[in-house]
Amino acid sequence: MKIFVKLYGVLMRYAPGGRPQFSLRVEPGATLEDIHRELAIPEGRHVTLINGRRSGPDASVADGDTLVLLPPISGG
Amino acid sequence: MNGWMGRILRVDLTSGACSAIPMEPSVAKDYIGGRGLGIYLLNQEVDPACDALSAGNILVMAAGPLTGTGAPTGSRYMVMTKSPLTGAITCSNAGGTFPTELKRTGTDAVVFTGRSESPVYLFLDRDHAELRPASHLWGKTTHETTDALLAETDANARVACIGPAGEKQVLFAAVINDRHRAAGRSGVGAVMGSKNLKAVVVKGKGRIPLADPDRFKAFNKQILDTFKEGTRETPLGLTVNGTAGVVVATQNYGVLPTKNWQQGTFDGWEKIHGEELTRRFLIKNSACYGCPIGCGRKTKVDVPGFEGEGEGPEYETIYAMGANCMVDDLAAITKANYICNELGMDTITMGATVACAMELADRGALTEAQMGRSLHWGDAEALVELTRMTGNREGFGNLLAEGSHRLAERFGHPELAMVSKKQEFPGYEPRGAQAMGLAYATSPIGGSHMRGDPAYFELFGVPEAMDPHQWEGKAKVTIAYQDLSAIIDAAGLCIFFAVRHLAAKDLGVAPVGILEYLNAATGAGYTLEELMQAGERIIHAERLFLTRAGFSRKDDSLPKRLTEEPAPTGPAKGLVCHLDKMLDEYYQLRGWTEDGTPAKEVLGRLGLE
Repeated sequence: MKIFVKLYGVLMRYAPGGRPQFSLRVEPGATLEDIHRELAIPEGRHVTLINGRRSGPDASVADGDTLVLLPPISGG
Repeated sequence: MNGWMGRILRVDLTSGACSAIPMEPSVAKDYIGGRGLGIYLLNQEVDPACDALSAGNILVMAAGPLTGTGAPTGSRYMVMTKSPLTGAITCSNAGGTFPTELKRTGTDAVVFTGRSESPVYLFLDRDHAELRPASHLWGKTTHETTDALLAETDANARVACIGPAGEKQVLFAAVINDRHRAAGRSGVGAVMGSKNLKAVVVKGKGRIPLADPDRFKAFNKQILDTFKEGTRETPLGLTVNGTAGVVVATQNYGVLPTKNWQQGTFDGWEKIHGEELTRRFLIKNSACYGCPIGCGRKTKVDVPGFEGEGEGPEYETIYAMGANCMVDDLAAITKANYICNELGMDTITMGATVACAMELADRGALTEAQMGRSLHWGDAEALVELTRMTGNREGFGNLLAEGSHRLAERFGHPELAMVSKKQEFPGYEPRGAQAMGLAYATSPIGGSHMRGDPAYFELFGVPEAMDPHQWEGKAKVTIAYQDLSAIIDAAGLCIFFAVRHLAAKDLGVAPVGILEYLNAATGAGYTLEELMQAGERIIHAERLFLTRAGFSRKDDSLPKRLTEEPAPTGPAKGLVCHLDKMLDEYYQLRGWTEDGTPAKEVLGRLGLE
């Protein structure tokens, strides 16, 4: 299945081919942990949203989902 | 005293007399300083029913015991008075170096009373305080005023002043210190203007005395080492893109208020977010005194029509003047920000009031004849021009100068003012961040995110994440953050550092790090319970002022747009803010009546009879 991934801020350094927004083929039932591993993004302080909802490493993705990976952000 | 300087300066603007009074140790301990000292003085001296722009109001500038000590972000002061915008209190906070210099004059707080017959400024150094004529400065911008005062006093002094907006009593005029730092909200600059007080110039010397310098230094090293270690690999977003970096988060959560809060997503967001600001206009970071983060942005714009140089914009400015007005031109937003700093105005209320005018115009409730010009969504040129006109109260700007509540009411659509207690909201949409709605409704200054910032636990995950769409359990956590914010604001710290690094790593956010700093600095021997109770006391002292001024549950409200109209776009699509349910729980947990009045037993426990 296919998902769409958007990387922002310092996470753009993990963009395959230097493109921070890309589609990615993943196995059915893939979790965020699997995807982070595939993109070589260390688990840490970034935040991952699946379709705008904050999600933990165990969350699985579905075909057509949009993943947004944000660096540590605060303030306002 | 240590940490505290032990002196409050009273300046009677009517007679011109300046007199120092000692700070009572028990008041210092119970109210900490800054915001706490400010509300203590307001409750002592101001009739809550008074006209905010009359001589009966007072204006307090108060630093905290950690201001100027070298504690990270210990750079802040509070400007507190009764607000002409809301009729409630103000808690306008700023950093920079002015607050530290104020402390170095041997002063914790300055209380201005009465009204001068002609424009004056206060000059204050270690040895004396005097009011000096300021007629030659009247009409000058904040930058011009600062330059003139440094030239005629001391080049190393620090200046806080008002611009033309404060002189003309724009209801959301700011006090600007160190040229670019703003005690921005609720019209503190208008109160200064009403008193004919143009500026305060401070020149101190020496260090802030500490009770236990070795203990302070050791703890400071531990905290700073931890900060440096934690940010070595991945720098804080605040350092990289300033607060403007928040746009990417609010857009993707669907809580970036857009089109006067009609929706929470903005198609043009990628043109106005922090990375664009960094790429196009950033010259370098700037930092307040003692701050290891450096979220300030020194910027320069050379886009024709919008040329300028200064600081900003912050996230809140980008939301209010950008997405909220559908303006995707970052040069125009930055220019309007510069104008606000130079004329001395709050960028949030300015932008939100223009957005309100845009919606009124869009609906035909405001005509070109009434405005003297056309106005449409996304009108970047109008944003800049109307900002300039507002600061000078020119033409239609004279109506914008009253804020969105009065504007919308005047043109028959009060429901289009996106306010709580008549003050415009900052940039987080409560339909997709429920606790933010509760924080806006219960903030003592009206729409504000800085009196307990739920964005930390709803969006940023600091110290833990809560589902932003859920309302259950939010009252308890919001209360904990509000009490923490009172302590941060009273101590003289900045929320950006203190929430992450000086509070417990759970949703109770006990002020464990602040406790150590305060005890090392002051020697007051706070227990954690005493310090947390001081935070609660400050919140209740503020509520007491509001209750006496006639505020109750009816004022702890949000516009129907947020509580009845489901969000039309983004991840929060279909949701409304469940304010009433959260408010019931909030009052119960606070020990307030169903109408929002603190119970006598609670006030008694906190020594607030």
